[in-house]
Amino acid sequence: MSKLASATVRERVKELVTEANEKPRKFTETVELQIGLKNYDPQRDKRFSGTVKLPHIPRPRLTVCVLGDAKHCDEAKNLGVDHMSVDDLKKMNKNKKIIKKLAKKYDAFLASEALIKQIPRLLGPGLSKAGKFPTPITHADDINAKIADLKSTIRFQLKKVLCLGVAVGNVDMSEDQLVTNIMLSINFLVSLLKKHWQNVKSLYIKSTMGKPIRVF
Amino acid sequence: MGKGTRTRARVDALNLNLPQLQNLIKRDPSSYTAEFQLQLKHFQSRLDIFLLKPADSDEHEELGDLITFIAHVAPCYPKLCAQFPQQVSDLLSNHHQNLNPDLRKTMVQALMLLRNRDLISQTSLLSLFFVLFRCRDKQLRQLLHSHIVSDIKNANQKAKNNKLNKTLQNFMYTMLGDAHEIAAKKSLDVMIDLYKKNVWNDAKTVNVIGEACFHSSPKVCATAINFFLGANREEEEEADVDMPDITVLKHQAHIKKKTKSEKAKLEKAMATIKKKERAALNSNTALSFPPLHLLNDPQSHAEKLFSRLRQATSQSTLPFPLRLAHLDLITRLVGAHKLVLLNIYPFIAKYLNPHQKDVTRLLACAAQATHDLVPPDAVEEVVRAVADRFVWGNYSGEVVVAGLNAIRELSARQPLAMPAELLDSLVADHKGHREKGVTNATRALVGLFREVNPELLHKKHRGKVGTIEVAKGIAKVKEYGQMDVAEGVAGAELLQEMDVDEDEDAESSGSAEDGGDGSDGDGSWSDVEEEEGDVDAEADGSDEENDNDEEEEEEGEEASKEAPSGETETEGTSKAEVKPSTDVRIEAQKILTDDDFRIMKKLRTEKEAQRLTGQGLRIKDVKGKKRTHAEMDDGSDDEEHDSDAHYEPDEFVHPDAMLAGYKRKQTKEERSTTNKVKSKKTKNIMMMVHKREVWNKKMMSSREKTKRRREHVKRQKRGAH
Repeated sequence: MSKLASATVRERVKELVTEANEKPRKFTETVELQIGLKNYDPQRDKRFSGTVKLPHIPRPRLTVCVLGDAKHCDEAKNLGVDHMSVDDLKKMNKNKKIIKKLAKKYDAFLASEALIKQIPRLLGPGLSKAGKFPTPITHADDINAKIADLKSTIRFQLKKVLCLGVAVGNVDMSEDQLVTNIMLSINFLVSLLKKHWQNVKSLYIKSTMGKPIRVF
Repeated sequence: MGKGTRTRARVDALNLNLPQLQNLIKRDPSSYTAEFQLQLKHFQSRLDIFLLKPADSDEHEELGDLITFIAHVAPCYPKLCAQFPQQVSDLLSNHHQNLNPDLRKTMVQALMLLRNRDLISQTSLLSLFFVLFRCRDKQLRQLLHSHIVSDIKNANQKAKNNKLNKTLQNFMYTMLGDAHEIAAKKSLDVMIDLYKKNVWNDAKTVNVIGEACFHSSPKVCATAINFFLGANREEEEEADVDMPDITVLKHQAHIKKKTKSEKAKLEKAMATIKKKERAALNSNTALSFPPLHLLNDPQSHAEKLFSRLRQATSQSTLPFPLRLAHLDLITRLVGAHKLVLLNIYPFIAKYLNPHQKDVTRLLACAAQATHDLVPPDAVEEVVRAVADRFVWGNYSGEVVVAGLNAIRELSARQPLAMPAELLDSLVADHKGHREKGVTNATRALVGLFREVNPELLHKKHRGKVGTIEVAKGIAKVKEYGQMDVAEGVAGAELLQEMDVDEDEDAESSGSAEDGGDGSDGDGSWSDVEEEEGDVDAEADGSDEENDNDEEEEEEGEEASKEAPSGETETEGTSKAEVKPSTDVRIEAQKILTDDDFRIMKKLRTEKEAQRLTGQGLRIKDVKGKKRTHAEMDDGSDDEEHDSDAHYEPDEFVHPDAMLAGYKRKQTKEERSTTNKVKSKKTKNIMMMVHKREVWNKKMMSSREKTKRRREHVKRQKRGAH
């Protein structure tokens, strides 16, 4: 049973924003949602994972690389997005170190539909190991829109421990935007849990340099 | 022994009577110190002699008795016996190979006794015991095993003794590299036992066991692999064994004398069964076996196992069952962690052959290794291999069923791997097969594709829903690499619709309706408002959206906040303003409660049921699409196998699943006939001829006979029997 009201979330967000504004940092602070679970055994219960698209972009500085055919490469070039062609990928020669570096360099990848099926053969397990398997794009898709999609999707995945944290916004966003994002993420997370609110122990929001603020 | 005769006599007397002395000492240690010291000296001298010739057999009995005696009374004289444990363990560690087995066992037992009294440290003793695993003495090893497990379990009972665990785990790691095969196997057994007892269930243990998968000895390797494969399976079997048969008990309770104890017995049995069922239900949710998820680097683990499997060409290095176990583990890893190991598909495809031994297990492996990140062409190879070699008119139904089921399992995991023409021919060739198992398997395949990709099916097999969805273009096929990105909480829009509807209802009727669904949660919502101070007296219990709007409205006045969802609660003419509230998703406006989730689940299942029965979708809606009469018939005909549509593949496939739906004619259980059937069975006429019933009938007058016949005819017409 949730005892969390929307007004409380709003209040806490306000607190967080004022605190962040009091002491501005030299960079944009990210707002993170931190979740503690209970009555959940990651060794026994199925580990959940879910991806959701937030209404407002939480991580605008996410770096994306397009692994594309000629047309997509051109488009990416025009847009000023990093891109790689098949030949570039072939040059890596399945070298694990280089591929690991590539996976580390970018936060997400896009790949042309024609190319994506070859990616496991070209790059080996490197990308999927890093959890950054590319998202397919077709020629009809707008690369910018796809990148915006990528930037606004967040992923909840339970690992071996009973807590998880996700970036749901940044302090540059308006308070309302933050509230919307946070509420959507809370609701989505709770919908993933087997017993919904009965599995939630605590919820905190925290800006990068700020104090964690307990919401629930 | 140059002692006086008296002393000697006394020593002899006590020597003969060590148990008695032990008894006396335990009652009153202080008054027997002298005797004990004497025995201790005796032990020292015996030990010295023994060390000169450790393999000497006639000395051991006396020494053994002395050791047992001292171990028993050692807690009474801690100071005097300070050296004793060390001496014994030194003796064991230096001479364990050539000691007399009886003496060795006595010494081990003495050490265990000392350990239980806490006179010797755990780490030193356990490391000695692991060394002793090298002895060629099965009973001793069993004794050591049970002691080690229980000792470590006790040490971790109250709280995890991390320091001890860490040193021991490190030690075990070195033991696994031990040249002695049995010692390595035994220490592995200890670890597995401790994992199963939930004492050492951490990642480190699992990874050490994982290392053992690469041990050079097949025995050790098999143990480790089977641990990863089957730990849960064994538990299930165990659970089955002590399960009372409730039907038998019920029957007995019915027939036997009804006593209190019988009733209690039945109740107890019922309780255990319920408990078991509940446990089974819980374990069903745990699809994944945890050790697989605790491995540090599954990719390289799988790769290493696979390269071992490929390199081992001879039966002696890797016998067939072990090869199969290797393959099973590799494929499980691939499936559970979505690894990319492309070489494995041609490798498995090579083995897929109806005459191959354990082919169902291999088919299960192939299915396990398939997940949505495997390139479709890699899986297609396997699908084609199965289709070519199994699904073939000349084979028996069993083989075809196995093939079709395997194809379904593969396509459920990677639908893109199925070429359209292959699916077409499979369905067309086997839909009307003479054996029911085959037709069922084909239908299941059709059912699966109706769900995942109806476009691939021939028009007449799509069914009503599939046809309409394809025509409308709403049949969604997941592309390769595409993630399931949710726009929001699934089903929230339904909740929103419902709320809006209720809004309108409430407005039109002008009265607050009673919240029929989940009024508990609604209560909490109004509670929250009460805390905040303002309570709208008219707040509708069931209408959470409204509550929320009010809240925002009130706050909006105070803090001039943007309220996206319009403040239109009481105005009946504000439909245009209600609409914007549906633009912003409900789950972004308010926190959903447990009740909301419950309602949403209900709504979703309703919606899904509607979709599956084809309600709400009309063929007329589809422009430029005409369905022939025959097609429509076909669609409605096949509704029965929509139950297969919600096919959720398991993480691990059981080999029996490959033969699911196939029934052998002979396997029907032989049942005894019922009393009813027996009563209908006629007896031999010669047994009855002279009976009175028969005789009476024979001697009946014709009038009586006619009367009876008429009655019988009448009864027949009434329909009675």
